[in-house]
Amino acid sequence: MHISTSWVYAGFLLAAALFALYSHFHANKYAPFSKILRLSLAHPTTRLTLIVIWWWLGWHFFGSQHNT
Amino acid sequence: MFSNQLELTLWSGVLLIAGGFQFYRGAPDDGVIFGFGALFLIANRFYPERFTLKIPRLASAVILAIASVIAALSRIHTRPQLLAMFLFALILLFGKRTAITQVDKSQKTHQSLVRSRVVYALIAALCSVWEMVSYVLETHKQWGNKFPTISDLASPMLFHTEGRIFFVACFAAVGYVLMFKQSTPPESPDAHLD
Repeated sequence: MHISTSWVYAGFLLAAALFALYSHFHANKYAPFSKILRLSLAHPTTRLTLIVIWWWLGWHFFGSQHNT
Repeated sequence: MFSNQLELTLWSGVLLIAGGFQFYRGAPDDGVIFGFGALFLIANRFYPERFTLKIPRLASAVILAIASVIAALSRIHTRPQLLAMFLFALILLFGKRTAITQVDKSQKTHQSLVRSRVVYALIAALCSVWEMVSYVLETHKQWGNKFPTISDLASPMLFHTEGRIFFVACFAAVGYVLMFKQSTPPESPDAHLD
């Protein structure tokens, strides 16, 4: 497994985490993640879609036979 | 009404596209799951209360905990894992969710929200493109395993109990938030922005 290309995913996670931290302290310019989540979950369609996708992720990693 | 239908159409489209990709990668059962998800979304939109079970919150939490223990302690891709996934689906998809509260329109359109959503969407889109490219490249012999997908990186951890416990804990915690987090808006639309 090539180490350098694996770090790309870590880079994306780090970017999201750094932005979440930045928005927490500059909320007048960028809404914090908690507010985005709260407003997203306020819509039934969005909430249900997120639930379906989240459940599928669990299926994909734990249950599906196509990852053996 | 127009925006609700458009939103429903777009999210259903997302699930159907994701399902189509599963058929492409040779995982038809995953494709069926996404198709079912799209149908469930549409059915729930027109018959909101028909497809939920009146499971009390405490019972839902207990079932979630049982499913988490099963998923954490049993090896992946085995029958106990299928049982755990069934229990997760029972609660996540059909369990009684915390009631949705209406949100003032001005909150949704505030510029700070738009900026943040764009940034997160950009990160997610770039990550998705990289994942897709990696998946296509790894099917070609010349690239071998130089471009691992997220599954290639995460799966080895799931074969160890400690890694599996960590993933299951994260999975159950996020599922709990999606189910039971109250969507109550702040006291004033931009209270924390002052």
